[in-house]
Amino acid sequence: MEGVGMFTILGIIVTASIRSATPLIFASLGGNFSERSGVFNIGLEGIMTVGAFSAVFFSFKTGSPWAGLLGAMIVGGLFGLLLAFMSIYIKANQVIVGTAINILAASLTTFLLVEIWGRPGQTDNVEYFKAVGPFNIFTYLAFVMVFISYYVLYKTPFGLRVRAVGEHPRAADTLGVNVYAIRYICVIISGILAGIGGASLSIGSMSLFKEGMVAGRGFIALAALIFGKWNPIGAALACLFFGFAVALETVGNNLPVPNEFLNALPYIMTMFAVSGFVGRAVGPAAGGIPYEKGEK
Amino acid sequence: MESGMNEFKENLIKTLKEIAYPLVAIFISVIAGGILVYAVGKDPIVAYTAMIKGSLGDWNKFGETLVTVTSLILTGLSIAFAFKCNLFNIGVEGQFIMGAIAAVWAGWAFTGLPAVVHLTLTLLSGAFAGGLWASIIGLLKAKVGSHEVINGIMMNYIAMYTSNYLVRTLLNVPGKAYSVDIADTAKLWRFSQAFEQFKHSRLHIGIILSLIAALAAYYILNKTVRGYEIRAVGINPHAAEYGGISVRKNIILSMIVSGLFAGLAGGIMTTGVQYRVNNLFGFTGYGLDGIAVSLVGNNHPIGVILSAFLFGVLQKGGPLMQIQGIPKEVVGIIQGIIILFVAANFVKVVTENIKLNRELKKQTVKEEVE
Amino acid sequence: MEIIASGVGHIPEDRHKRGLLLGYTLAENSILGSHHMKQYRQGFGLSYSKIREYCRKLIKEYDIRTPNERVLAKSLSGGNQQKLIVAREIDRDPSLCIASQPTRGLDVGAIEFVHKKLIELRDEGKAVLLVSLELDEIMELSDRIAVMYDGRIVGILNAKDATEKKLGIMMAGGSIQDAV
Repeated sequence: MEGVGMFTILGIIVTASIRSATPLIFASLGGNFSERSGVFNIGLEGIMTVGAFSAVFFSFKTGSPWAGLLGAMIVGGLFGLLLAFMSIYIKANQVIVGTAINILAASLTTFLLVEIWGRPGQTDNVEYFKAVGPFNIFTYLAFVMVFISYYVLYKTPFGLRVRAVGEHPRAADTLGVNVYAIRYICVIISGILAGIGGASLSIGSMSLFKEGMVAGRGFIALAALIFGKWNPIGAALACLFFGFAVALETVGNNLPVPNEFLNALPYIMTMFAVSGFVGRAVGPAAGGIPYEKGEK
Repeated sequence: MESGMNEFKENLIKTLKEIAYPLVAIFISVIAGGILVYAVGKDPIVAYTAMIKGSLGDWNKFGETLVTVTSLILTGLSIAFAFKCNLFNIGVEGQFIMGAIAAVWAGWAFTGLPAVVHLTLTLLSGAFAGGLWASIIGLLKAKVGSHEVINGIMMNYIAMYTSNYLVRTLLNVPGKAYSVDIADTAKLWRFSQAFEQFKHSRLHIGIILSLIAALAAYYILNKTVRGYEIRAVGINPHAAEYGGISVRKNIILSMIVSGLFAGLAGGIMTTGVQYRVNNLFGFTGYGLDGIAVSLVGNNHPIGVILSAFLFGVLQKGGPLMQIQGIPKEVVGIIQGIIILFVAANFVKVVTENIKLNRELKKQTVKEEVE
Repeated sequence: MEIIASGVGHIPEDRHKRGLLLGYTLAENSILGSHHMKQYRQGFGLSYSKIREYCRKLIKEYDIRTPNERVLAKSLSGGNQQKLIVAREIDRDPSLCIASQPTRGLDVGAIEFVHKKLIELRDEGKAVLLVSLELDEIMELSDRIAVMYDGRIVGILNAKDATEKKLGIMMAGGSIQDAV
């Protein structure tokens, strides 16, 4: 009897881990593309937020969750374009632009929420993706995307170019790689993926958009990306681990450590990772630095 | 005498130029906010009138605005100070939280002290907690080179959960989602105690403290050897090192000072406004606001005071706009756009690009002639 | 810090990377390395009037072409930037001055000026170590010439014995014997 209970709990934890990891995986894959090409994307959080909102909005307007997903991708991509334009053409500080995107996203979505649904807090229920088996379609898509991303980044000429641009843009430029184009493409992909991540929250695990529903997942995704050493598979594993930490909270009252410690664990571990205490995580060498053509 | 005049003129022109960019950015953002309001079928004039009335309409509203300005000045200073050393202290939020909770502890744990002593002790605990929290980021940056932005974000979350843990355990009021209250001896003096005009506002003496802090920051940065070194490291660490300046030491120090300001902001929030700390479900936002304040203030302590006031007006005007049927999030949107513009130095970049193109054209023409 | 205090001046090879703080004014740059010294202090802080007075002195003595000492270092021409560095390093009265390619990228007038200052320093009895790729510059200024090849000094010549041919052979890795 006790054995069965144990298995049930274990099953719940595993499923819950994978569910909470789903949005994280999309966002951290997005971060992966952007940062591999040398552009920091602190704005993942904000792009997830606009993605989550647009998904609900378009699903509400058309009655189809597929349109919602598409809308989230487009709007996410547009915000990616904004980040790309500001950091590549204007050469603004990427971290500050990311911060601005986060602030804009939070305010803009709440503003539109009030304007469209006439009240703050949350939207009405809309058509969403119902679960197929234990998970909804986003989870399956997430795992497929992990392998696609890995393949693209490590097994295609495009991926080689992306990594070259992130490590040594000048050398890549000399060899005829269009640094700017690669960065634009990668940051836009990053936005699209983060948008899907947001949609997986609002029309995947729920059927509506709530203020503050992303709740720091963009930053956890960033942490997972670093923890996974800027590698899609590593990042996905880190997401699963962080998802596990979240899932543990559901049974947290029976654990000997305080809940808050479990909450903070992903962040503590990420700090250990970037600081080299558990196998140094070193990002792309040219990360965060605007590329200036013809500079000595 | 004449050179004195010239110098004055020069400084004036320099200052005007420095102010011009943020002003243009603010102007564009306000217009953009107006267009947004108009787009949803509301009157932008009504919106902005409500905003001004809501924040400056009477003494009490003005007082409440100044309460916000106090926090904004300190968090803005915190960001600005680190920026001078070319560090982006996005961890201000966490340092603010730690300052607030440390002040609750000091304000509650000590009893029977004279008010001046207790209050000083409480504020210092807050500042110290913020400085300690920031020093971890500085140490990691200086010793192992890990990025201050990533560690800062992580430490914000760790601070939030640490604070929540303390609110739930050590500082708990049974059955409530907030902490114990601090003792009366640890509370900052409020203007409502002496001025009829501010009767319904929580305006407290902290506003004066924050102005003093701004002057202190200005003095440290611009008039001391330490400030000379910190700014030198911010401009060019290689040249600074060559000039015998320790880059690591100054990185750690400027992070600590930055954290002290943020912690003090938290401490003042506790001793002047809240008297306790609530269980947090998300961030207070003061840290993020500090970024906007600092950027618009050109990372200059005096600029920070002015831009803190501007953002105070924007934020406190929100609720009245809400009553007029205009979502107060317009404020956040304006804030985001301002950051984008100022951070990008949009105006400057565009004018410089145009100039560059012109020069290139001239050069090509010249070469062709030759 | 100790190295500078012990009397070593250094004119670095890359003036933008190591020599100057381009975002600082001339006055602020003129005390880099000696900024902690007493003569620029006032109470707890730095005395900017003393710093500017010192910088005005350098501008005059070293003929730095600038509207005043309050402009940013990046607004100066390369030659005047280099003059500022030379001024700062020499005026500190070092007993040893290491000059790495002190005339790289300068115009003729500035080159001549820097050369003159280095000779003056030599004449005062100070040690000057000149590192340069310009053969003419080395032969004109030096008393003794050390040639390096592959990370080692292959030989040291007196300047009056040095010819371009000898130096050339040594630069290719030959010994003094080969060169004679």
